[in-house]
Amino acid sequence: MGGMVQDEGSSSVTSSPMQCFPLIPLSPAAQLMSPPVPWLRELKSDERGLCLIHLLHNCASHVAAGQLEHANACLEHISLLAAPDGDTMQRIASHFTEALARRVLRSWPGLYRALHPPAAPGRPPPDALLARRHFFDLCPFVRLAFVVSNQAILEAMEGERVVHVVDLGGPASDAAQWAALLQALRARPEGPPHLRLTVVHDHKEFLDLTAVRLTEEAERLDIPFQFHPVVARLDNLDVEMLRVKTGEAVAISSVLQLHTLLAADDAAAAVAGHRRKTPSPLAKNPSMAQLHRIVQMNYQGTLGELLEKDHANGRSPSQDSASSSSLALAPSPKTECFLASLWGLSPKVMVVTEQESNHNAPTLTARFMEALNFYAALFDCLESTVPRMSVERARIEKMLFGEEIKNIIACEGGERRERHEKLEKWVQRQELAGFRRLPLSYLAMLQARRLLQSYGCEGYKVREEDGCFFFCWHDRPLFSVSAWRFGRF
Amino acid sequence: MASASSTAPFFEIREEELHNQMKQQQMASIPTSSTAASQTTAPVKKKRNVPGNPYPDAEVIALSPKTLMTTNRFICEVCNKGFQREQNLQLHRRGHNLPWKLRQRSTKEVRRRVYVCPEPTCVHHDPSRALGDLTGVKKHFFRKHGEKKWKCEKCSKRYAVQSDWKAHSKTCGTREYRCDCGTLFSRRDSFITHRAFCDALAQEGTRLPTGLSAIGSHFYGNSSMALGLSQVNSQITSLQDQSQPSSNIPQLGGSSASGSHFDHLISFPNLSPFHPPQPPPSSAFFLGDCSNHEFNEETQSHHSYPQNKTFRGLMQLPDLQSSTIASSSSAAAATANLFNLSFFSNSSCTSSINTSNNASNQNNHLLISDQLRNGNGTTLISGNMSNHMGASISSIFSTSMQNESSYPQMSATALLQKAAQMGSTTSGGSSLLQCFNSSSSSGAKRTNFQASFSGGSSGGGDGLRYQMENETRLHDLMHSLANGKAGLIGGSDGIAAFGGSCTTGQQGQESGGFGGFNSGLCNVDEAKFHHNLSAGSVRGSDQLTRDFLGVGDMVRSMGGGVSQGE
Repeated sequence: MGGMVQDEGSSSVTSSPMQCFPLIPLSPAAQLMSPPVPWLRELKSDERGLCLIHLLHNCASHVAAGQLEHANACLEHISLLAAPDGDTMQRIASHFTEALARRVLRSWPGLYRALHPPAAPGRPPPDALLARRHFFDLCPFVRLAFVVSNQAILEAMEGERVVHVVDLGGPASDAAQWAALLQALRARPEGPPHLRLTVVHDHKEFLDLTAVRLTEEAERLDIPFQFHPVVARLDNLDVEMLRVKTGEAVAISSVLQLHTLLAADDAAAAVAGHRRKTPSPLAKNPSMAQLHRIVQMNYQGTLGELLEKDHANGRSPSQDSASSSSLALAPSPKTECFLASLWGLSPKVMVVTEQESNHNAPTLTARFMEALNFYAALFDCLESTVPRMSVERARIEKMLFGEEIKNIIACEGGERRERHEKLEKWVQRQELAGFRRLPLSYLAMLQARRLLQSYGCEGYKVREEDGCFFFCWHDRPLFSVSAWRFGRF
Repeated sequence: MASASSTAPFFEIREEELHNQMKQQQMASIPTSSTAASQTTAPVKKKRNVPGNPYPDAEVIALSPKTLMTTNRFICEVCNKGFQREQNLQLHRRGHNLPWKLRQRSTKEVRRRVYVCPEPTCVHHDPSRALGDLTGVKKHFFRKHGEKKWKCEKCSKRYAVQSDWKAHSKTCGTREYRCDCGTLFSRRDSFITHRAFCDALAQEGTRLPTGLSAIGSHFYGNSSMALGLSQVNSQITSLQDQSQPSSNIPQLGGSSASGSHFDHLISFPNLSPFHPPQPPPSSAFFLGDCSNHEFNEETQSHHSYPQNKTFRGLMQLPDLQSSTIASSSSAAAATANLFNLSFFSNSSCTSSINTSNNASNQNNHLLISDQLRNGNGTTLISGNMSNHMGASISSIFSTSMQNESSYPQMSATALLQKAAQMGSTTSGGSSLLQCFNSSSSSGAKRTNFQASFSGGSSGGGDGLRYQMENETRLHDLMHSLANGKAGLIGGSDGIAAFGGSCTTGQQGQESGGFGGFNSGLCNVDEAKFHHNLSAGSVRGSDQLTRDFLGVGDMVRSMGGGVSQGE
């Protein structure tokens, strides 16, 4: 009998994907399990995974449609299957259900606030910082971003004597990147330059720690070094605060940070929509806004340069109008303004690392699906490299991925800050702002590969496309790195 | 090359230039104009029209090694700056206010020239093998007789010509060689060296079970498939040629029995079946080989090839079995299949032993049984072996496929892909699939009918009660189906009864919903199962839960039904 079933299994393989629901011998323990669904917990991992995916889909569509009863039923069911310490799909499901539940709960703001009092704006919980740290240590992505960014900066700064590096900060920002850059600059054949590092971050403690560490490192390496902390959030950062001086070769680095600007856009749009029917001329006409900004930021160039710049900026809005219709890039005046003002600093290089996934779709279901696929790959990374019982892994999943998932799924408007978008969108924005693409070098690829080799896990890959790199888990790109330079039209 | 012809006024300058070059180097000859310069360099210039020369009437020019190797042959006498081209020097001279003259395009037909290599031992020293252009002969001379001074920083490979080095640098490290252990290599030779040692590690790993990824096991599955074929091949070739195997096969057995097979692996590094750019050899290829008698002439090489493969495959089998066994007991079926797979080849091998009575082949056989004993109890294997003795190659393939797909755990990404696949194949031919899809993709429909059912439960109260009563029976049924026990018939009876009971309760209520559900069903049994599903979905308080269970149940029971049908 057993042989027959087995034969059957082998012959039906080719015909149907039902494969994932083969017969499973249930252990006697199944009978002992409590109702309502005794054998449900005994599902094989794959079956349970498929079941969970299916349930999650349904749940998300119910939540999106506002059918809370059904959503509730789904959640109830998922809760039987999901587990934050189970297999990958169980873990994913537990985080996505939490996010969905939060979203549902938000329709009762009183309840929601009572259960989730708004966190103190001061500093993130230490667990979140630890989770960042673990992510940095256990997954190669942030390190890869640093290595590739540094290489691009190094190449762009070749021969420069005075280098000003601007780190746009964000939670992924780390002193390790700049310590590595210091060492790389030390090893330059032409000797190290004078390095000025501006780090934008919303936590002063972080900046203080970074300053101490990097100053020590620079002293040890005997590199003339100045640290310039800017306590600010990216959405209220004025480029003037970066204090870029003439004669400096400017490099800008942003690791997983630029997308937060898009939230500010959304919030501003909402506010604008509320307050006035007619948008302000400044917001309506980006070229005006850019001109204003250029005037504001007191650009120390010749009149000719200013005019040329103005001319350049004057062209971008026309492209904007043309491209926004054809390429359907959502209008994001704040982001455009900010990028244009960065462009105004004439950076020799700007390196942008972003999540390669569209978590900024207007509809919840689209966002949900994208996020599910994206985070499934990230959870897979951890599954294949870190044991299930690891505290660090649980922390990454809960405090980093889980929080991002919650933000993507449960939040709207200005609160939804994790608006990851794909590289194609960033390419449009950067080009709109006047940047030209700077292909990443082969050497950067080699370094990235070497780094991955040291991780010894075959799932991680680096792929090159049009001079930009994608960090992939197997075939799925998860993060993109692109380099840009100040270009004139 | 630099000057195709010279005119009379130009000659003075040329003289100067020649003078410079004389100072700088011991010049054998210079490619100068056909008339004037050829006289000055007459002693070394060979001017022959040899048959076989690509251009019989071409002027054959012999240049000294130094001339060939200098990069900047045209030196400015004022500042000693060197130029590759005479024209550039002339332009440069203009900057010094020296007399300069740019060569005019001559109206005269330029005579073709060919160049010989100055190295007397070189084939291109012979004018009949002269090279057609100066750059060509320069590169030839650098490559074959020059110092390799361009070194690749990445792989330390050296090049004599800068452009070769540049071309290499562009591709060096771009091709990846991946070992099963996960290590990446940019160079093939280091990969091969690593493989030799890594195989040794893998062999040691059989004693202590190592975790292998799903990909890894799939890979091994493939390789063992190739192994089966290649082994058959090796058997056949060894039968065809009785003189050689005595030397070859014992070597194989000996090295593997002792466990030190480095020499063997290293001696045939190019034949590694794990070399990524080379796909595993196709069956057609090998079967073709078997029947090809020409191979017997080149016995040494052809014998060593399949044997090497065989041997390596065998080395890895124990690894495979340890991994699958360690993973979970539920994968026992897959393991068994794998053994079939590996054993098919082995069994064919043993049969050939019986017919040929070749001592060396028995050696081989001993090795195999050793390995099997090493890894697992032989009962399972032998049982399945008898099942699969007559299996064809295609069945081997399918078993390996099954091994891959029924691997105990799939990654979340793979599951999502699978889910997407299932969702997208609604129009597929399989009724099973349709059932699943209709139930999985029409969440709204289902919930609707459930709502209506709970709303109208006063009418269907009887049915509901029925279902409650039958709940335990349903579960029993599930268990019996899932266990795959002999109670299948009884189970289907139970389903039939159950289906009946539930239809009484809910007739007319969800005909719409059921229409969709039933559309894909084609046989009565399945329909019953399907009612079972819907019954499961209706009873109890948490209807959605039941529904989703129904999805699982259905598929499960379908599996049982199909196997019963066969």
